Amino acid sequence: MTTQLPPQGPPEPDEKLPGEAELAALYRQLPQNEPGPALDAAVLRAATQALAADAQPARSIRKTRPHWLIGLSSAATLVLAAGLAWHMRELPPAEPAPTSADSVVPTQAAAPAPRAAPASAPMPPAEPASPIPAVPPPPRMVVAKSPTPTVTAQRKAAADRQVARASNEGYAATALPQPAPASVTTLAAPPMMAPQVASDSAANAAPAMAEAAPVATPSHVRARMPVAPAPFAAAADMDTASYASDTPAQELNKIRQLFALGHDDEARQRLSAFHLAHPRWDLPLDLQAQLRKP
Amino acid sequence: MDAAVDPDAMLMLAYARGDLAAFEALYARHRSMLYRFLLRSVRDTQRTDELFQETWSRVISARARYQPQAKFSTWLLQIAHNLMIDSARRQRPMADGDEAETALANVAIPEREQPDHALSEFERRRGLQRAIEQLPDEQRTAVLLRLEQELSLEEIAAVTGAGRETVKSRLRYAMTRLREVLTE
Repeated sequence: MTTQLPPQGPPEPDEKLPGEAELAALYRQLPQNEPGPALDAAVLRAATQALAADAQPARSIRKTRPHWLIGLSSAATLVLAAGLAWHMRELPPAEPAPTSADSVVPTQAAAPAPRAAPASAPMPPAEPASPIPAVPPPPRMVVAKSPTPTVTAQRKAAADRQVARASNEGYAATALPQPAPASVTTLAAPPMMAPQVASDSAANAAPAMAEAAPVATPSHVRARMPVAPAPFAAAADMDTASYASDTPAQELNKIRQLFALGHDDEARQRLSAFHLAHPRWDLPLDLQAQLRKP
Repeated sequence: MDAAVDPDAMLMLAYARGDLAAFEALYARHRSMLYRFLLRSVRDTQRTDELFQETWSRVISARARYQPQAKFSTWLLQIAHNLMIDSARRQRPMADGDEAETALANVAIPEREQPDHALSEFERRRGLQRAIEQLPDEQRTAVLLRLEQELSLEEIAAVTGAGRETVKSRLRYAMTRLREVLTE
């Protein structure tokens, strides 16, 4: 296979047609018409004006391009800034992430159960619930202006007393986890919020204990009860719990319920305790029979 | 067509870069042949002037996008031919025989060709002009491009948009007719 090369040099003239040479000679004798001077001037003037127009748009483009670029860049900057602002507004509030994360990691590593970590994370703020707060109040509270400082101090003292009482009785840390963060909120919040939060914590505690004790009792009495390992236990178990305010008849009814529920050991213990406390109480026959059992 | 071997193309490229002298040289080289081609095709001096000016205006406008893919003269004649066809389609019909004779004879005749010198030559040229005018448009254009511009069959085909064999056939018919008129 060969590659065809392009033709070199001028192409060969076509073959002459019959009589072409004679016609060409006669044609060359025809009048040689030419354009007039006015036509020549018009064409050359058009060519000159075209070159002048070429130079003028170039200058105008150089002048207008910066304005166009400035406008475009300004619009792009505005869009970028607005997008960033919108994105930052949608983010959650900043947390002390680096330091707290470092402090939490060892705790999680030392914890036997990983699930305990999230629950234990909010616990450190419960430290200010000690009877004498070691941490001074935050500057926000110092700076906060209050029209009645004496009333504010009284409210704060009342809140502190309530927190201290709950802490002494082990109530806030065991029976009700919610009051501990609430006490922190009390310290960090403005003075006007302290009594309200404290009352909120009490209000939260009241319904929970109301389920455990259908009989109306003072809250401080309920808080002292040592026999409430699980405040959120089943209603049947809560009905058999022993309270100091129970009458002997109520106590005997609860003992009978314990026997009915199959908690014979606990029922016998409480029956023995009842018999020791009330040796002259005339026990029903069924309970006497249970008391006699070994 | 390589621009390096076509001086007209180089002049056109130089003009596109802003060289006005290049255009003046280019115009001087092609003004006469283009004008004659138009005049003998349309046989009307006013329309010839219009088409002549319009052709060069197209050349000037196309300077920025000009690519030397063919001979400049071929490109120039192609523009003129297209304008001429468009003009014939939308304007009045071409001049009749008397108007064409007046237009073509409205030039200075060399002194050596005065009537007493060669009356027969004058009659032959007049006969040739009339015979060319009476040719069909396609044959007349092909003959003018061949006799005036001395273009090849391929170049005539490029200008007119016809095939090479079609151009060759048109030329054969046209020249046979011209010879018949001259021998009558």
